[in-house]
Parts: sequence; structure tokens; C-alpha cells
Amino acid sequence: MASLGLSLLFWVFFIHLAGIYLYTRGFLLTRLALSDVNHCEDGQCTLSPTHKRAVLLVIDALRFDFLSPNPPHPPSPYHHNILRLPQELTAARPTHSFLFETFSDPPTTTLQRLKGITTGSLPTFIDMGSNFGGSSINEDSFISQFQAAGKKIAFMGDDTWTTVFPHSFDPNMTFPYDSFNVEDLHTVDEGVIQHLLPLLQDRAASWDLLIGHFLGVDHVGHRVGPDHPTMRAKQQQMDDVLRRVVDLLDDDTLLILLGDHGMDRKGDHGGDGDHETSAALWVYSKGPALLHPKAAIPAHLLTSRVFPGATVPNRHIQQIDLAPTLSLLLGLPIPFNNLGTVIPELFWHDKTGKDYTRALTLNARQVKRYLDTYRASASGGELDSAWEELERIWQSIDFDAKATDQDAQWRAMTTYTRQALAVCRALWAQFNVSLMTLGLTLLATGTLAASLLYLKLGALQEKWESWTGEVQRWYVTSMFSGALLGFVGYITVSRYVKGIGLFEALLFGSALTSSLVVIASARPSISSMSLRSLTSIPIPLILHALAFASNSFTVWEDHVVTFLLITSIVPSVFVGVAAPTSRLRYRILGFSALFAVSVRLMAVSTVCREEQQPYCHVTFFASSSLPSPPPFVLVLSLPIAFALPWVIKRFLKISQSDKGAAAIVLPWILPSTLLLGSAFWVIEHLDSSEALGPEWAGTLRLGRTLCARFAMGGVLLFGYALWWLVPLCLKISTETKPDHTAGGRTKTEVTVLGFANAYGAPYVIFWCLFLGLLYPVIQLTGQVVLALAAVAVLAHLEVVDSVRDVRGLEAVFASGNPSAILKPDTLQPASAPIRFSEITPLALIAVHAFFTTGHQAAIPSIQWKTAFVLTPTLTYPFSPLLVVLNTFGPHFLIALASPLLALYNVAPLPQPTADVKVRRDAARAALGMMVYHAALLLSSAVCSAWLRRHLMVWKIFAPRFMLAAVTVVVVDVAVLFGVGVGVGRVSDAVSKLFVAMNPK
Amino acid sequence: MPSRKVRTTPASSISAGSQPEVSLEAGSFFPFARYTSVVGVHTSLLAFSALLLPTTPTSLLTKGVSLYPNGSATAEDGFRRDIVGVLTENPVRTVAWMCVGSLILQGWWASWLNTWSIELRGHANAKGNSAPNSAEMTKQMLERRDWGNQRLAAFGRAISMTLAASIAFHVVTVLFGAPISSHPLHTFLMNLLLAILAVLPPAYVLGLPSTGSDSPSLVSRLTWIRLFAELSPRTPIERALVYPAAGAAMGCWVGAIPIGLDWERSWQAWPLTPAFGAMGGYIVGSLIALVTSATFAFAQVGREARDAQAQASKAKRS
Repeated sequence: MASLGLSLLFWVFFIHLAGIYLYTRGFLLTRLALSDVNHCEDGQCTLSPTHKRAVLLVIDALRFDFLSPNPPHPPSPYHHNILRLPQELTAARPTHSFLFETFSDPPTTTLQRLKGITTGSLPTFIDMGSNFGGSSINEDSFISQFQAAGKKIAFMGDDTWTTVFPHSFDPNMTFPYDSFNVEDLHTVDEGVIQHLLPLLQDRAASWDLLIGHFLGVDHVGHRVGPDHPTMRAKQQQMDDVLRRVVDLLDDDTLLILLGDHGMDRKGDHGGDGDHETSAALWVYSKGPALLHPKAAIPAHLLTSRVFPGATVPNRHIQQIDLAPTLSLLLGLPIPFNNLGTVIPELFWHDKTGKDYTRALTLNARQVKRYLDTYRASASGGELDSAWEELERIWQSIDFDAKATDQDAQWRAMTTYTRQALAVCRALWAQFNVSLMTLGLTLLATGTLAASLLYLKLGALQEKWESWTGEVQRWYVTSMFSGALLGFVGYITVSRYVKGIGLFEALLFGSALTSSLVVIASARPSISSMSLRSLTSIPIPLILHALAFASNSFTVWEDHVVTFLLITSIVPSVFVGVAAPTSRLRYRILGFSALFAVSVRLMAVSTVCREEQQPYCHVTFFASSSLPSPPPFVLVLSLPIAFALPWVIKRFLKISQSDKGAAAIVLPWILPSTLLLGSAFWVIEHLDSSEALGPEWAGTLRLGRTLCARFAMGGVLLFGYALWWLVPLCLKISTETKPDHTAGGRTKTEVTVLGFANAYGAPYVIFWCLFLGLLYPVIQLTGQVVLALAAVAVLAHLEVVDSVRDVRGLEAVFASGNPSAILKPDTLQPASAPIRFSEITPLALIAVHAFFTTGHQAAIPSIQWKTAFVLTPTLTYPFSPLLVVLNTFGPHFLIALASPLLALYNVAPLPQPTADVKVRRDAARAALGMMVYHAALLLSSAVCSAWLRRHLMVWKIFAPRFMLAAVTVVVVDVAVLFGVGVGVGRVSDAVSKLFVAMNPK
Repeated sequence: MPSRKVRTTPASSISAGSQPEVSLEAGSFFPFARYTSVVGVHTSLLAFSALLLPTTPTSLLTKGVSLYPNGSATAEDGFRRDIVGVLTENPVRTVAWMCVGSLILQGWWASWLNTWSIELRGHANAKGNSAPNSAEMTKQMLERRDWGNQRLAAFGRAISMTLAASIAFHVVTVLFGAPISSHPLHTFLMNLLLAILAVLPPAYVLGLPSTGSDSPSLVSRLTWIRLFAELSPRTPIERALVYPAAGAAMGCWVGAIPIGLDWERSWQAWPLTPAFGAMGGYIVGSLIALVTSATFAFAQVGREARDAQAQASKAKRS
């Protein structure tokens, strides 16, 4: 019987999983970042260098038309023909100076572009490498090739470089500047100039590659846009610097000037607009000519394009072509992952292009080796569809071609490298919009179906089980028939719609059909809707979901959640003020205040995310740079381990249900678990701060490992086993009394202490055991927060209970039969369904607890430390599991509490009516919790799909979507666990005990 | 003290219309023209005290004069920018000025409402008792003589309740997420403004809610609960007390939302948006109260006219 509600929840879970899977497949493109390095001991994989050193200047957001001799018509007085040096030199020395328009792959943000330029590859959001979290690169790049060749790199400018390459630059010649402050137009540029010119002047300076990254043009673009006198002044300054650099340049130093990306007409960038992806590249060799004066380069090698608005075509190449070109010009191997193609002009040193042939051959072989390696890797299947074509082109290359047939060889090799690039770009750099749409459709219909189910279950009374049984038959059948429809759809449509596989089609068909069937069978009748239902619109949920459309509110979600949480209890406070009895008034107002204070105190704890600076102070740790707990938390941690179980016991004592299992778990098991959990982190603090000296390290490590193992093992083996055997928190005493009314006979009187909360108290114990399991994995400040969260949850339950009492009283008053108030049975309106406004605070506490236990919707906030709670070294599967538990444990904990809304302070009589109601309400509370988080997921998925070309998508929207997706899975699992195991066991035990006690 | 309380509260509770016929009667002497004009003046002066008052005295006297030399569009534009600049330059000063302005205005508004409620009581008595009760008349005359002192004391009590409410609001604002330790003055002044807007008029007109167990204090308490917890006013005066107060609270709540945006505007400084939101919400609430009450009053007049007609025709037929 209990499985009916459970199977409904399982079905919703399936729809969620299907939607998340399809959307994620379309949105989060992954690429395996191979860490192989192109080694070249014998010098066979490179050319002899044409230059000894190179100066690489990056002017951020330098769009091609800023340098172009043929700017769009009419030229802008503010940004065209101002940076004139490149076009002047190109006109004067065409064999030494080369100007290109380059295509920079989206996302056109500096970090991604720097990775692309240096590795010659296409970055995606998740480069599945060994280093999941950091921004630093672990792929081969020309920077690492320089380093491997023992050469020195000097660097100045945008500090993005030092995050990507933390250890590559010579420490004496590294001058990073903060790239965050867009308001500041000059600091970075002046800093670069200040350090650049002396290094160029100083002939003894020992650099081999000098990188300078100017930010001014980009910042002017963001701040005032390109059509502004400030842009003119900025470009004038850049022109002056370039002239001085060229003056100071050695003959054997190659100068490369490039923009990492362009800017749109407003001066912003990040997306894939024509103006954003157009960046300039200028290569200048002061000494030797790179292009032979009489070179006759075949036209098919010289691709060109007309810049929007201009009339004359210009040479147009891929920005990543710089990686192989620069490597070979300086005598280094091509980076292993490169997909660029060498630029012909720069290797045409003789009339016939012998060096070019050699360069291109090296280039093609390198690409081939990369593709072979990728295909052999775990992700090799991605290349399946394109592999045959690539192999065919590869076979067509004739490597031993005679000079006469050279042209065909060049053509074949460039076709191969370009085809490889096109294939990989399709794989990694494009959203699969069809899959995203399918996923969004499923998420939307699934959320709608779950909401309707929630409403329907509330409207159905005792009949809910027969209805659910019928619907269950329906959706199970429709899942199979839907899969069949999906198959048919796949056969017919797959030729026209790219990127949808058979599995996806089956999944989509099955999930969509069954949700449509559920929507159809659970649709509310028009008559049941009224104006009154307008008051039950979940305003906090709507605001919470809408917040994801704005990057600011997504960044500040932790504050938004606090605000919404307090807002969500305002209606209860109003009810409390107007409550008809002073007992109810004090209960509602007092517990609301306790709830609000706990929530607000939780909100004190935060690890700030990067975007919240400078308005945020880290309080989760002692300071932003010192990841140890704040001192007062150290002092508080041990008292809290004792106080929290006492407080929970105190709550249960209100209903006299601190007996039975509660009398064992709360005074003994829980405090010892919490104590061990706190001790773990206190010892960890002693260990990491080396307070006792290094000779203690081994002992401390052993000590804390044991603490954590005893705490978690104790709960798992002992706590849950005990609860399973003795779940109830009742004290039943039987007393035999002489019956005065009937002469000599005796009467048996049974007293059940904890009767009023017979369902709720055992579940609270069940819930506390998970709290104990989670506690050791959460750092000290988080433990304080968890304790407050537990208090807030219990206070909320008490508020809900009293508000229901008030409503019950009001219903009795309104019924016109006020004397019914004297009959206790009518005070428990058996049919009052759970309201969504009761679920909302709980769902919000789940999100709140996530943020306040030291997490943010940003990958850097993952607490990797917790991987080593149970073991001193990385151990599978425990270490990743512990990190997941740490990150999503708070969500799980609070979602696990949602059935309490159905169970708390519910008396177990009469049976089986009470049991039926409890199980229905538990399923509804679980559904409500799922709906809340699914609505957040739907909103964040829609927003990240809509804003997928937004500047911040990979920093803000995509991480929030990932958080929402995992949260939905975690919440679903939590409520399934809660309803399946917790409610199932409690309802079994209670109904077995009380079925004999039905009032006659 | 208690005797005075006793005298004011039943009056207001009668006007509060615990019996439906009082509100029926109230419609017939709803002072539409006077009420409309007073609300108009009151709300525009409130807007003035929010937007222009904080720019005095230094800014408007020195800069304002020099900004108007040619009166062209650019000067106007410059003037507008200047006003935002001056308003946001020092949020504490701005909100303090708003408090001062609204304190004066709310004092006047509350006393006007009080006069209205006394008049209403007078009308009710005049209508209720066909023969004027001489004792009641004497009492009213005595009341009028004692006017000044009594009003001052009532105003003092209202002020003290406003202060207490501002402290309570401060706690609530912190619970909503306002900084705990920093910006105390900012937060407090914002809540003082909210209390002046929302609490001062009802505290003056209705008297303080008391915790006593005698029937007048019970009535007073129930009136407060009905108005501000159940939000169900029944007479025009109650609407003029409740709607603006609710509007101010909601405006304040809404005003917290734009602070989170990354627009880096000076007006996003704490607590400007909630303060201006409260002021705006108050004005909107006041206007809604006016429109609602006027609609009810006119509907009442229309119904009475129809009833009279029906009775007349009935009489004719018979």
C-alpha cells in the first residue's frame, strides 16, 4: 500500500532524470583534455627557428577593423585608422609585416581565448581533465613548450595569464595586474608600459618570450563603447607604445600583436557575434623577411573575407593558427592538442615554399596524432560519425609528392587539418539546441505534471489510493507506448534533425507521453478553481525562480534566500497575532521568532564568491585567506554537540514523545556522534595549524580518522539498526484498577505517553540519525549552521502545527456550531491538506543550508578537504562520496525532513484512516519538495539556455544550472528515502500497534 | 491617563463599525471633497519631502539657483542629475530629512483623521438619538475645551509607540537580512521613517493597544488586530489608516529588491530604495484607500436613492 505513493515519486524522479540528461547533453559540452605533451628530443618535429626571441603583445578586444587599412565605410573617427603603425609597415614592407583578420572561437572571453591561443585548441566549459576545478591549464601549449626548452618567459599585464599559467613565468620578470576592475582604464596599460620598455631596452635581459597584455581598449569598450573620444585617446596611446616597441626591437626578435577577441558595437564581448569573434593579428619581423619576394602562393591557401561594412577583402585565418605557427617559427614542437594550421605567408622563405611544405607536414601529422590519441581515449566515441571521412582525407595525402605535384599535397593537408577543426568544433563548441529543447520540454511537462499530482492528491480524500493505483497503471503503460512513439519519431525525423540519437528519442518519447497522460488525468476541473486559489500562489517560489534570469540575483542568491525565507513566514505571523487563544498566539509567535532568528544566524556564515567582492566578508572561515574556523566557533563546537540533542528532546517533550527510541538516541547516540564529528574538525584544525608541532602529525591524523569512522559507522550500523527495531517513541503503561461502577470487577487502563505525536517523533529520530551521519563531513562553522537549521526545521513544524489548530478553530467557528470546539476530535480536521506555503520555508531552508555551510553556486567553493575525512589518502569510492555528501548533504537533510509536515503531531487514531491520510500527506509533502526544486531547475535551465551567449554564462548561469540539476536529483533521492524507508517503517509500526485500539 | 484612554477608544471602535448600520450611516456623510483634497495635498507633500526636502538647505540654495540661468533642456537635465546626486550623496542625511518631513506631515494628517473621526462620532450620535443627549453634548463641549492638552498627550503617546515600533521594525529588518553590525544608523532611520508613516497615524487616531483585560482595552486590542493582522478595515477612516500602512510596508519590502543588482548606481545605496519604496507605497496605498472609500460611498448613495425610489413607487402603487 505504501508503495503507491512511492511509485508515484519514482515516476517523477524518472521524468526529472530524463529531462536533466537530455538538457545536459545539449548544454554542457565536454571535451577530454589530453595531458600528452609533444616531445621532440631530436628536433625532427620542428623547423630551424627564424627568430631567437619573440614579443607577444595582446591588446584585449582589439577588433580587426581597428588595425585594418580598409575599415568599414564610413570610418569611425574614434577607432578607425588611429592605430596606424601595422598598416603603415605592412604597406611599406610587405615581406616583413603581415596583417590578418582572425576568427576567435566563442565564448569570446579572455580566459577561454588565452587557452585557445596558447594550446591551439577549442576550449569548452568542462575540460574533463585531472584538474576539474581550477582554471589553470593542463594541456600542452607553446608556453609549456617554451618552458620545456629551458627558455625564459617575461610577463606583464592582465593577471588572467598567471591564473592559467601559475608557474610558467620567470618570477623576476612577472608583473600581473588585476583584470577585474573595468572602471579603471589606465592602471594595467601604464603598468605594462612601465615594465615592457625597460626589458626591451636592456640588451642583457634574459627573456626569450615577452608577453604583454594591455586591457585599456577592452575596458574603454565596456565602459563607454568604441564610439567615444576616450577610445581614440586609448588607441593613440597604444599606437605610441607600438612605435616605441618597434624602435627598440632586435633584428632577431619576432613581434606579434593580437586581440584575444573583438567587441560588439556596444563594446561588450563574450558571445559569437560577427564583431566579437573578429580579432586582429599582426606579425612583424624586423630582421629577416618571412615571405620570399617572388613567392607564388596558391590562391586556395590564402583565405580571405570582407569585414562587415568594408569593401576590400582581407586575409582571414583562424586565431588558433597562431599556436603552430609561432611554435615552428621559434623552433619548438607544435603543442600536442593543436587544431590550427600553419599560416602560409610566414613560412614561404624561398620561392617554392619548401619550408611551408615541411611545416604543413609536421602540422598535419601532429593533428593526426592528436585525433588518434583522442579516439583511443574514453571519449573517443564522439568522433565516430566523422572518423571515416577524416581517414579518407588522410589517406589521400601523398607525403612523397614531387615538387610538381606540390599543390595537390598542400590542398590535401590543409583540407585534413581544416576538416579536423570543423569536426571538433561541431563536437565541442556548439550547443545542441535540439537536445536542449527536448530536455526543457521534459522539465516543463514534468514539473507541471508533478504540480497537478500534488493538487490532485490534496483534493482526493480517502479515495487517493484507488485513484493513484489507476494512474499508476496508466503512466506505466504510456511509458512503454511512448518509447515506441519515440522510436517511430526517431526513424522519421532523424534525417532532418541532427544530434539526436536513438536512446535520446526513446527516453524523450517515453517520458513525455507519460507526463502528458498524467497531466490529462490529474488536470484540475475549472469549477474547483476560484479566486481563493489566487491567495495560494507561491510568491517566494516565483521570485526565487525569476532571480535566475539576472546574473546579479544569481550571484547574491544567498541573500535572496534569506529574504525569501523570512518573507515566507510572514503569513503565519499574521495568523499568530490574530490567533483566538493566547496559547496558540504565544506558540506561533514564539516559534516564528525562533525560526527567524535561527535563519538569520545561519545567514551570518558565508564563503563569498568572487563576484560578491568587495561587498562580502568571509565568515565561514577565520578570514578569506585563512581557511580555519573562526575562534568563537571552535569554542562553541563542543557545547553545541550536547545542546542540539537536548533541544531536539525538548521539542519532542512538548508532545510527551521523548520516550522509546528518542530516550536512547537523543541523550546517547546523537551527542556522541556530534561530539566525535566536532572533535574531528578540532583535531584537523590542530593538525593543519601545527599547534602541537610536527611530531604530533601522525597521532592527530590517526585520531581524527578514528573519530570520523566511529561517528559515521556508529550511526550507520548501530543507530539505524536500533531505529529499525524500535522506531516508536511511546511509553505505554497498563494499570489495573478496580472498577467502582461494576462492583468487584477490575478495569485495565492503558496510558500512552507520546500518543499525540506517534507518527512524528519516530521520524524525527530517523531524521536525526542522518544529521549525525552528515555532521562529521561538515566543517565546524557548518556544524553550527546545521544545528541552527535543525532548530529552524523543528520550530517551523511547531508553527505549522499551531497554524493548523488556528485554522481548525476558525473552521469550527465558521461552521456555526461553536460548541463542537469542546469535542477534541473535531479539532483535528482530518481532511486539511498540506499547503504549499508550509513546504516553501522547508525548501528554502534546504537552499539556505547549502549556502551557509560554506558553499556557493561556483565550482571553486567545493570543499575538497572533506575527501579525506575517513581516510588519510584518496580512496575510491569514499573520497568522492564524502565530497558529494559535504556539498549536497544539507539539501538532502532538509528534504528528508519534508514528510514531517505530514507526520508531525498527528495522532494515530482512528486506524486505518489516520494511516491513509498520513501516507497521502507524506507523498504530497515529498511531491511539493520535488516541485519546488524542479521549478528552480526549470528556471535556471531556461535562463542558461536563453542566455547561453551571455558573457557570464560559464561563470554564473551554467554553474547554477548544474547546482540545480544535482539538487533535484539529491532532493528526489532524499524524499524517496524518507517516504520509502522512514514513513514506511513508521507507518507500519504505528498502524500495527494502534489498529487494536480503535475507539468502538 | 486611563480615563482618557477609555474615552478615546470606544469612540473609535464605534466608528470602526462593529455594527453594520454605523458604516451604512457613515456613507451618507463621507466628506468626499475634503478628503480628496487633503489626500492630494498630503501625498504631494510627502513626495516633496522625499524628493526635494533632503536637498535643502545647502544644495538647493547654492546650486539650485545657479543651475537655472538659461532654463534650457540641458539645465533641466543637469538639475535632475543633480537632485539624484544630492539625494544619494549621504543616505543618512536624506533619510533623516525624509523622517523630519513625514513626521510633520503625519502629525497633521493624523490630527485631520482624528477630527474626522470625532465628527463622524458626532454625526452618529446626532442620527442615533433623535433627541440630542444633553449629557453627551456637554461631554463633547468639555472635550473641546480640553482639546489642546489632550491632543498633546495623545500625540506624545503616539510618538512613543512610533519609537517602539521603529525598534521592532529594526529587528525585523535585520532578520530580513540587513547588516547586523554595520550601518546601524542607516537601518534605524529607515525603520523610523516606516514607523512614522505606518504607525504614527493609527497610534494617534486609535490610541495605543493595551494589554489590559477590561473590555475597553480588549476592544482596542481587537481593533488593532482586525486592522493590522487581518487587514480588514470597514470604514473610510480605517481604510485611510490601513491601506497606506500596508502600502508602506510592501513598498519597503519591494524596495530591498533592486539593491542586489550590479548596476553600481548611487541610488542603490542602503537604505535609499526601501525608504523611497516605503514612501511610494504609502502614497499609492493612500490613493487606493481614497478610491475604494469613494467608490463604496457613491455606491451607498446610489443604493439609498434606489431604495427611496422603490419605496416611493411602492407607496404610490398601494
